Amino acid sequence: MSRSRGCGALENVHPLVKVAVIAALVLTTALFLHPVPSIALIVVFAGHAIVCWDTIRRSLHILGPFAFGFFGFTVVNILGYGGVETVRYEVGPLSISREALFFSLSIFLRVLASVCMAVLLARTVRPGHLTAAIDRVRHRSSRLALLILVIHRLIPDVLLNLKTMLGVRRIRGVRGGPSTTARIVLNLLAATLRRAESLSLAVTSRGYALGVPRSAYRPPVLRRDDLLWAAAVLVAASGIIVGWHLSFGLDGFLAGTAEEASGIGR
Amino acid sequence: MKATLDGSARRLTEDGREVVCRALDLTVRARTTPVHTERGDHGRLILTVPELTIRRGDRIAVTGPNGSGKSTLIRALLALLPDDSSLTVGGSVEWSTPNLPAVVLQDPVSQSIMPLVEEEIAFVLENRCIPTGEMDARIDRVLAVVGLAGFRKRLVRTLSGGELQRLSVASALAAESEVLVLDEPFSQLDDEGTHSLMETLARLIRDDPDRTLILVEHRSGPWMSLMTGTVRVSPDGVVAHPPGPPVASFVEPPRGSVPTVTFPRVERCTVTTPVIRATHLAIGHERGTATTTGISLSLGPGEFAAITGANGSGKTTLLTTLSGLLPPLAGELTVCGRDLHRKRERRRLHRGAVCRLVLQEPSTNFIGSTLAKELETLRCPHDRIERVLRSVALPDDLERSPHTLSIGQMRFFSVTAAICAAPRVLLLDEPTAALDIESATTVLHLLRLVCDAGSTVVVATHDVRLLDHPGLVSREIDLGAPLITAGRSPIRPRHRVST
Amino acid sequence: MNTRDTIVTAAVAVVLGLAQVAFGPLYTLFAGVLGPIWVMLLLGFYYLPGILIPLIVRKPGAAFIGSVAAALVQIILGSPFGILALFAGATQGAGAEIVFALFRYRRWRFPVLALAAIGSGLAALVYEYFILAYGSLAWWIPLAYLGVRVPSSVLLAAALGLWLYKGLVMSGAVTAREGDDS
Repeated sequence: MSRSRGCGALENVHPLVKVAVIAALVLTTALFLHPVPSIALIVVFAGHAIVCWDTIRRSLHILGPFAFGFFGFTVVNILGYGGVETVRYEVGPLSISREALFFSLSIFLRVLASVCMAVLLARTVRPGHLTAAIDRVRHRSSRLALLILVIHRLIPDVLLNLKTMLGVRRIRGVRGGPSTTARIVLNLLAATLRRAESLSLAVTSRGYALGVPRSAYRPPVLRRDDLLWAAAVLVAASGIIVGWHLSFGLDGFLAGTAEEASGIGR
Repeated sequence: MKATLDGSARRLTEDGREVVCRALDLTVRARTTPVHTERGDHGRLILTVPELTIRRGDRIAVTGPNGSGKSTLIRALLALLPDDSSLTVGGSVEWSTPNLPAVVLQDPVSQSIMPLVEEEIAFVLENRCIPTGEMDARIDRVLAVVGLAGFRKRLVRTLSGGELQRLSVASALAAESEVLVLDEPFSQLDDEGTHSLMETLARLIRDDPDRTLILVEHRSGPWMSLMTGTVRVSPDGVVAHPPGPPVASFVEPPRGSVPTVTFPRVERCTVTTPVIRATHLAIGHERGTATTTGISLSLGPGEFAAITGANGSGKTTLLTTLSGLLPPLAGELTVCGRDLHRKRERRRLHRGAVCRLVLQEPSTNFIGSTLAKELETLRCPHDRIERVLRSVALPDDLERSPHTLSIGQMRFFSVTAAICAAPRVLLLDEPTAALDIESATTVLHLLRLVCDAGSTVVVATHDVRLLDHPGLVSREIDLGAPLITAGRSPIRPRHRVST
Repeated sequence: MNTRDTIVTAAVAVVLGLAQVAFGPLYTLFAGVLGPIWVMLLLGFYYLPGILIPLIVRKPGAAFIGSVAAALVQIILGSPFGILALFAGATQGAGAEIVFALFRYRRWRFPVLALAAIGSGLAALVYEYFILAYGSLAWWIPLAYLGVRVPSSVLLAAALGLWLYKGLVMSGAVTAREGDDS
C-alpha cells in the first residue's frame, strides 16, 4: 500500500488529538447557524484530502447519496422557513427569500462538513491506535475501546458472510424479496452472535476483563508534531472565518439584504 | 453452580500428584424454552459426568461423535456457560489454578481480535499488565515456540488456518495459564496445518512435560501419541473415563449398515457436450488478477473430480467459479452447455437450480429459518434425507433451526442435503472436514450413489479417506502450491468410474 | 454489562449498522419521491438497535451503548450523515434507555418496546431541533416530523425488533427468558 509521506504523518498524529480537534470544529458549526464555519471545515478537509488523496478518494462515494437525499430537506427548509423574510426572489411560481436560502444553505453545509470530517477520521485513524489511547486515559480497559476493537474486527467478516449468503441464495434459484431478505438478516445475526460467543470465550480466557488496569504495548505519546498539526488546523479554520468577516462582515450577506429592503443604498 | 477458581494454598493432592481440576456429579440440562415446550422437554439431560479428575501433567483426549456434547463439556468445566444460556449446570467443579485455562477453539478465524500478529500477542500481555519494556522479548519468544518467528508484522487476516491456530496457541502461551484446552483444533486444517500444529504441541510437551493439556477431537490422528488419558462422551452424553491413553479404536465403530437411498436418474443437460468443460481457465476474485491459471478439464455425467492442492491454491475459488458465482477471468468455461463468461448465462444457470454448492463456513450455507425450509430451497425431498439423518442419530426434527446443531452436524446436514437433492452438478468444499468417522462414511457412500445416478461431482478436499475411497474419484486435479499465477493443473485420471 | 455483553452488543451493532448503511440509499430515494415529511415513515428503522440490542442483552446501558455502537459502524462504513450520526445515535439510545429505566429494566413486552421506540424518536427530535434548526421553520413542520415518526418507530423499531428477537430465539441463537411475549 503506497501512501504519500504526508498521509503517513497524518496517520501518526495522536488519535485523541485528532478526535478532539475535529470535535471542536464540528461543534462550532453546530453552535452557529452560518455557512462560514462549515465552509472552513470543508476547506480543511479538502486540504487533507489533497495530501492524502489515495486513501480519502475511496470514501468520497458517500457524498453522492448525501447530496441526493439532502436535497429534499433543503427544499423543505427553503419553503418552510418561518423567520423574518426581506428580499425575495421569484423562481417560477415560487417566491424564495434570501434568508431562507441562507438558512438552508447553512444547514446543508453543516451536514456536509460533518460527513467530510467523518471520512477524514475514519480514514486516518487506526483503531488499535485509538483504543490504546482511550485505555491510556484512565489506565484501564474501557468499554469504548472494546466496542471499537470488536466492530473493526467483525465488519469485514460480516460483509463476507453476507456476500456468501446472497450468493448461495442466488445459486439455489431463490428469488430475492422481503421475506428471504429478512431471513438472511436473521441468519446473519445468528451467525454473528455465534462469532461473538467464540470471540468472547477467546478474549476472556486470555485474561481480558473490563475495567481492569492494563499496560500498553505501544503507548501513544503526545508529540510536538501533534500539537503543530492541531495548531495549524485551528489557525486555518479561524483564518477562513476571520477572513470572511473582514471581507463581507459576518452577517454581511444578510446585512446587505436588510439595507436593500429598507431602501438605503450603501 | 459456580466453578471455584482457587489459586490459594488449598490445593488438593492425591497419589502424590497435584490435582488441577475435579468435577463431581456434573450435569448439564437443556432448559425448557418456548421452542421445546410442545415436545415436553423439561430439563432434558445433555451431559452427565459422575466424576472427573485431572492432575497436573495429564494430557487428556476428550472424544465422542459429532454433537455428543464435547464442546459443552469443556464449557461446563471451565464455567464458561453464560448465566443466560439455555443450559443449566448442576454439580461442582473445582480448579486449583489461579488463572482460567487458555482455550484454542475450532474455528481458526474467530479467535483473534487485533489486526497484526504482534498486536494479538501484545493484547494478552497487556491483559496481564506486563511492563512495556518486556513485551517485545516475550512476543518473540512465544512466536518462536509455535514456529511463527518471522510473522510479527503480518496481518492476521492473511494467515492460513494452521498459522492461525498456532497463533492461538501462542496467545495461550503468552497468557501463561497452567492448563491449555484445545477444542477440535485440527478439524478445519489441511494436512500442512495439522502437521505444523502437531509439531508445535509436541514441542510444547517436550519443553515442559508438566504442562496439562485437554484436547477435544473426534478423529483419530497422530496427535493421539501425545496424550496420556481419555475421556469418552457417548452419544447420549454420558461421560466415561476409560484408563490409559487413547487408541484408534476409541472412536465408536461405524454402525454396520449405511442407509440405502435411491436417487432418481439425473437427466442429462446436454447429449453431446460434457457437463463441465474448461479450457485454459483462469480464475480469481478481481478482474485482472488471476490467482490460478491454465486449468483444463472435461467432466461428463457420473464423473467425480477431486481438486487437491495446498491452502490458498484456489480450490474454493475454482468451485465458486464453476458454480457461476464468480465470473471466469480468461479461457473457456461451459457448464451444462452455458458459457459462464456471459452474465446472462450465469443467471440462467442459477435460475435452473442446476448446481448445488456447499462452502466451508457452515453457518453461511443456511438461508432458511428451519431445516425443513432449508430443504425446500435446496429442492431436496424430505424422505430421502430423513433416513440418512436417522442413521447418524441426528434427530430428524426438521422444524428446528440450523443454528441449534453443532458445527459438525451443520456441515453434515448441508452436505447431505445438497447430495440428496440429486443435482446435475454438485460442488462441495471439504465435505468430510469436521465429520466423525460415521458421518464421513455416510457422506462417501452417498457421493458414490449420486455419482452412479448421473450427477457430476467436483470436490475440493485434502482428506485421504475421500481420495482413497474405492471406486469414487475418477479424476484428480492438483492446483499445486499456493498462489502461483502460472499454475499448472495436470490431470491425472486415476481410474474411470463405469457408467 | 460485562465483557461478553459488550462483545455481543458490538456484534449485533455491526449487522444492524450495516443494514442501516444499506438502507440509506433507499431512504434518500424515498425522500426524493415522498418528500421529507412522509419519508419519515421509514425513519423508525434507525431506532432498531436501541430496541433489539437491549432485548438480547437485557442489561442497563444496552440501549444507549448499542445505539452508539451502531452509529460508529455507520461512520466507519460511510453514512451520509457523518459525525452527526454519532450524536443521533447517542440521543436516540438515551431516549430508549430512559424508558427501559423507568420500567426498571424488567418489562420487555411489546408496549414497553413501543414506548421506548417513541422515546427514541422524541429524543432524536430534540437533537435535530438544534442541529437542523427546526426553530427557524414554520411551527407545524417539526410537529409533522414528530407525528409521522411515532407510527414509524412503533412499526419499524419495536415491532420489527420483537420479530427479529423471536426469530433469534427460535433459531437457538438467543435464549428466551420469562417475561417474554409468547
